[in-house]
Amino acid sequence: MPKPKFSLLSVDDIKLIHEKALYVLENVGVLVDHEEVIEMLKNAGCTVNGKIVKIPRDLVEWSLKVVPKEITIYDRDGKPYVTIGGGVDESYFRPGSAALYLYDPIKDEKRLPTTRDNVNVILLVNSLNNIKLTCPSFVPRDVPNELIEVAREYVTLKYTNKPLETSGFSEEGVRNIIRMLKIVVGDVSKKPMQVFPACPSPPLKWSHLIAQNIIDLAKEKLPVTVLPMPQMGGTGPATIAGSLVQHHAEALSGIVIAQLVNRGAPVVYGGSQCLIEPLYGTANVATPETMLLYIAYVEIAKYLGLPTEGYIGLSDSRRVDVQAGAETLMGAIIAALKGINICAGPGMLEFESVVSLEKLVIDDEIVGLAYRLARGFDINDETLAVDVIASVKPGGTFLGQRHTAKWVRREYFLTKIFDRMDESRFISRDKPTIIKLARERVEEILKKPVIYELPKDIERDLDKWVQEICGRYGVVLKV
Amino acid sequence: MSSQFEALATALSNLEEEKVLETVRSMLNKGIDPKDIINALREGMDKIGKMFEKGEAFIADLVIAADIFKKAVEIIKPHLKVVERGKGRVVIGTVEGDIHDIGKNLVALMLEISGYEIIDLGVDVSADKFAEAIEKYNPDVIGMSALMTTTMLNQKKIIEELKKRGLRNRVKIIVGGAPTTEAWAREIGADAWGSDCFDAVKKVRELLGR
Ligand code: B1M
Repeated sequence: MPKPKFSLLSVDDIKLIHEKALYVLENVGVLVDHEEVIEMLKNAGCTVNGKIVKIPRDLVEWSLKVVPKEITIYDRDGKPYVTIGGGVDESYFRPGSAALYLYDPIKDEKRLPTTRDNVNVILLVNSLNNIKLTCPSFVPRDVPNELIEVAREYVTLKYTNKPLETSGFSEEGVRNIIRMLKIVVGDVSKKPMQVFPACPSPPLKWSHLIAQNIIDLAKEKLPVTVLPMPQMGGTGPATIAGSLVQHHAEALSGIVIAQLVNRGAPVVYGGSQCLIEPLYGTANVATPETMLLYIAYVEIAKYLGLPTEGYIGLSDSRRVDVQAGAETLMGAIIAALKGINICAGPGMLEFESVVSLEKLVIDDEIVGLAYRLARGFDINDETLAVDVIASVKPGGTFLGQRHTAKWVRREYFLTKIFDRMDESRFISRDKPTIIKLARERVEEILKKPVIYELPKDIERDLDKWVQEICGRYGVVLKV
Repeated sequence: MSSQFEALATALSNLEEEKVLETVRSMLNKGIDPKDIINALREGMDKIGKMFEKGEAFIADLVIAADIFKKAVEIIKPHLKVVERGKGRVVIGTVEGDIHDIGKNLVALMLEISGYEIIDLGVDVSADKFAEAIEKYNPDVIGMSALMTTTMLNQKKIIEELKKRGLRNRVKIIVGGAPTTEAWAREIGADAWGSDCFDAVKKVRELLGR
């Protein structure tokens, strides 16, 4: 089956970038704001000067050897759900994460999100076929800081069996997530159902918080996505090649740390590219330049045989508008064609800080378009359809052919929201805008939501644990 | 402004480092009042700041201009009788637990371009460090940036700590960052909130009346 494919870097380019990154690690080093990690790196042969750690090439090479090349992610019920890495060129999307605000495109208004909004995201994703992984998109503002991770994890584990990706925002937060996962799936290392993004602080630095997160996660063999995001022209070089070298060096240093904590700890090679807009200073994630960086590091990661991730299929627009559609589709197509394994993006707007439910359902469709494109088409006797062409004859019509009735069902991706209506239905539905259609779809799904209930005994244990910890802060979490 | 001062201001806004530093040295040799030289340099900073607002200069240009300005002031400093504080002294930092700093850097840059003296405490700055900086630098304004829902709470904690130590009323406080709002600034007892770097300059100007 021919599929559209493209590539950017030659093997020589990849080797060159890899060499340069190794040079940076060996000669410039990384700043590590964590005593225990510094100690570990020192014992493994790194040169340490204060907090600057210079990582020798053989340590990087050892780490690349021992890091798993394939990760199977399980659903909440313990069934294998997806496998990433290992030469798998499939991409699995999940909603954008950790939004500060919810955007309502009908009121054209941003507001602070609540736990209820996270429930809505999880329920929507349960019904969105192209969004295979999930994520509680919002950082809720109706619970105290100490309970943010608990509230986000709780609604996810309670309402869906889809695997999820999300991080914590504090050391204790990540530990709470791990505790909750253990209640639900038991031995988290055997059947991981959650992936955790961890960002180095560009350029070339590991903050205490994130270094500690990696320790806690790698110890449990929970998959960590090392997620460099050099902001081109701000915390990374202005050139794409320069930021690529820095990105790769940061990613490699993360892989080294995880392997030293626990040899064989699963790591996803990720990235959340951005560019500091030189006129405005905003952190833009969906530009052609950032797209080139995604393609490039993903090719390097795949060359090294690693699972990949990107914050892609999202938009910097403040509204659910033409810009939002254009930027999201640009990313989604690249992600699907390149086979970036985990793609974090749908629903997201405004420089990774806002999520809209309406955009989430539109993006489900955008991802559908991208998937369809990536699927290519079959070439065989039946699809070549020479006998059908012959029977229709010059000047005839294909509308009523059995071949047509069969293949329109298989060959086409049919849209629910993108407007392809005939004039009559367009008018009878009151000339709906895409925003209106998206809102209708959101309401329709939430009216009859699909809920994957937890087995009763597990739910009881989870409820008990959650209410206990919430009680300490005088909170009753009702979801 | 006389033509030699204007030429100096223009050299700065054109980012001609050597020309700026040369001119400053030769002006000092000629016995020109150091204050007038600094004013001319400020004029140049103002110029490039305005160009940025109009979309005619890039952030990188601003950073380079601020850097040249600092070098020029270093040359002038020994000739000044009293230490220059510019329009006011601002101590700025990203609060404890948070390492996001591009926004904070932009705010510091625009304040610097607008004539304020900046002391940047960097990222992950604790109440202790802000308190020490107040004692040490005697600033007019404290600026706190926070980019995460979790860390914005530290803006509040830091203000409370400053109150406890009797330092709160010695400074004006401005806060900002993507998760913060005007209402939040009011709630935690800050004096002002900046929506972006331009707004931050406006608010500082209002706070200090200059
Ligand atoms: C004093 O007075 C004032 C007045 C005005 C002030 C002011 C002070 N400060 C700012 N302003 C205002 O003026 C500026 C412009 O004129 C503006 O500043 P801003 O800072 O808003 O704007 C900048 C110019 C450009 N904006 C930015 O540079 C921030 C962009 C986003 C995408 C972002 C980035 C780039 C980064 N990140 Co982080 N990051 C996000 C951000 C999403 C977002 N859009 O906010 C956010 C803030 N990050 C987040 C997260 C979760 C994280 N990040 C992390 C790390 C990073 C990087 C290091 C990779 C990088 C920062 C690099 C750096 N040196 O700054 C991690 C934390 C690390 C740590 N130890 O603290 C990590 C925890 C991820 C992880 N698991 O590793 C989210 C916070 C979620 C929440 N609700 O709390 C987040 C909203 C993205 C997301 N949706 O996930 C105004 O706010």
